[in-house]
Amino acid sequence: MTDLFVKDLDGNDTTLADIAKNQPTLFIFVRHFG
Amino acid sequence: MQVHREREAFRKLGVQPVVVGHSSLRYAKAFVDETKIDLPVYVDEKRVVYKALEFKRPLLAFLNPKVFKRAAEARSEGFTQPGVHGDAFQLGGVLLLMPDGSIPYKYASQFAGDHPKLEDLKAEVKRALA
Repeated sequence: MTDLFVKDLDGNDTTLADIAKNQPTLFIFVRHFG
Repeated sequence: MQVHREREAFRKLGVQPVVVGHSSLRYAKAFVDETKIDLPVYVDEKRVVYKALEFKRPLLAFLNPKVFKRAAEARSEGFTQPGVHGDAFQLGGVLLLMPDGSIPYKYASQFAGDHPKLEDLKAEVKRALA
C-alpha cells in the first residue's frame, strides 16, 4: 500500500514510500481540507 | 490542525509530518493558500490510499453524539470547519511510515472529529523511533 500514488501540489505523482524514504514520516490523512 | 501547531515538536522527535487529503488539487491549493500551512500537502483524489489503508467511510458518520462533542471541543480550541470538499463521509487517520517501509503506527478515525490525542501520538512516535 505504500507504493500507491498521491499527487503533490504541482500535480506530480509520488508514493508514500518515496515521501518517507529519507525520514520517518507521519502522514495525517484529513477528512477534509479546511 | 493540531499537528500543524505542534509541527516543530514532531520534527524534533525525528519525523516529518505531512498532510494528505482526498479532494482535488484545486481545493488542496486553496487550503494551503488560506491556511499558510507549513507542512507538505498531498492529494489522493480518488481515495485509493484511503481505501487501501481501510480508513472508514461510514454513511452514518455524523449521527454519533461524539461528533458533536468533538466539534464543540474543536471550536473551543479555535478550529473551524468552513466547508467540506470531496467525499463528506470519508474519515481520515494517521500513519507512521518508516524509510524501510514498516508501519509501526496506524490510527483510523472512528467518527468525524476522531483523532489520536497529541500526547499519545508523540508517545507512539517516540516508541517507534527508540
